[in-house]
Amino acid sequence: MNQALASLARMLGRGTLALALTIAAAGPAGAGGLAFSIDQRYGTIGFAVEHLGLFSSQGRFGRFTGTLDIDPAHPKRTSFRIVVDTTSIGMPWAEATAMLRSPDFFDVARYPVMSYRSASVTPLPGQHYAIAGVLDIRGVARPQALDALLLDRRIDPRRHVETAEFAVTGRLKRSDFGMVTNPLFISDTVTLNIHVRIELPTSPQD
Amino acid sequence: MSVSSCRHRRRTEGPGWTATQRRLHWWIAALIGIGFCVAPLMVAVPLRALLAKFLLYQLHKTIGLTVLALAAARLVVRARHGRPAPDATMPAWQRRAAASVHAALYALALITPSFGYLTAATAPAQVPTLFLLIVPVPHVIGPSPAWYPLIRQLHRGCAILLVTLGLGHAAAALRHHRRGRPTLLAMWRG
Repeated sequence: MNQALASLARMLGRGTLALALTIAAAGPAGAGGLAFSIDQRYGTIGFAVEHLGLFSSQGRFGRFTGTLDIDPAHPKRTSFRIVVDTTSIGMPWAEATAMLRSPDFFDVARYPVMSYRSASVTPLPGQHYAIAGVLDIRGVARPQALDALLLDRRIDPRRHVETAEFAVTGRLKRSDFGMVTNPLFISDTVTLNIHVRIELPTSPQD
Repeated sequence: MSVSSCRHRRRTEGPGWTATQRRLHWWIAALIGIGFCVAPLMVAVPLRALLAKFLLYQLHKTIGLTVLALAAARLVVRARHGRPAPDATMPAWQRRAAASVHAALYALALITPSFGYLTAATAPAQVPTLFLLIVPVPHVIGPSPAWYPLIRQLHRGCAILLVTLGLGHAAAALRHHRRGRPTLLAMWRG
């Protein structure tokens, strides 16, 4: 296990992607890969819409889980899957939260989860990683691209962990997922703002 | 008092209300009335019609800020020009009651929109205030789940009191007018 984690840490050192929302526990994945479990303790999933170009509103999802599979021998085969509890949606304003939970938007009664499954990860210049995948909301599955930017990497020698922080962004059209209410006042384009922190145990010799 | 061709006595001594004072009076009254009517509409519009709701709220806020500015201007003009001499034939208790109501109206015309501004600022929805949909009005305090319900109730309570006193003020003016006093015409014509 330490050897696998050490090779993972070296892989990070080469700048190859690891996108995850946290590493809570690592276990063996298929064919030499590593599987990490993910949850909301180490990341946030937020979104924003614009109103008439005058101001914007932000919301977030408070509960999600997922898995991250990294194959150190084949870094571009990194994949992850996130399942978000749509009932955990929150806006600063209670009536807005109720509207987003309603059938006009996320219809949480019928679709209590939404998910994202990555298909490919491609390193780009400047610590960016292009992610291609499929986003499933309200039973509608659409291709969705994300961009992950490595913000910070540091080693905490006291806790023997290496921390990497990513900002993940993306844009989608809510009408693609059947959310068409208030087309004039709420922008069709939704900006995704996701922040993640990965913690990887480091080997004592690192 | 007998009906005559000149039913309402003209104010012959002392200046009347200036044109500025009269215009400010009627504009403030009209704007308060319109703003008060917009309020239940803007609250009732459902979130499925957010654009209409947003526009009504901005209209209400624009009206409120205008009333605040005009009421402040009225006080400045009043300090400079004073007011016409009170009607000496009016019983003293009526003159005192009128003075109290007028003072309350001035105060509420300033306090109500001030509470309204604070309601917008402390609201969790964080919708900006756009005067005439053009000029952003900064909120000097931010959203406050603790203060918002209280400030909102104060705004509503002051608005209801303002309109109630205003209607009483109007009713009294009409009553004076029907009894031949120059009260109403002085504010209408000067």
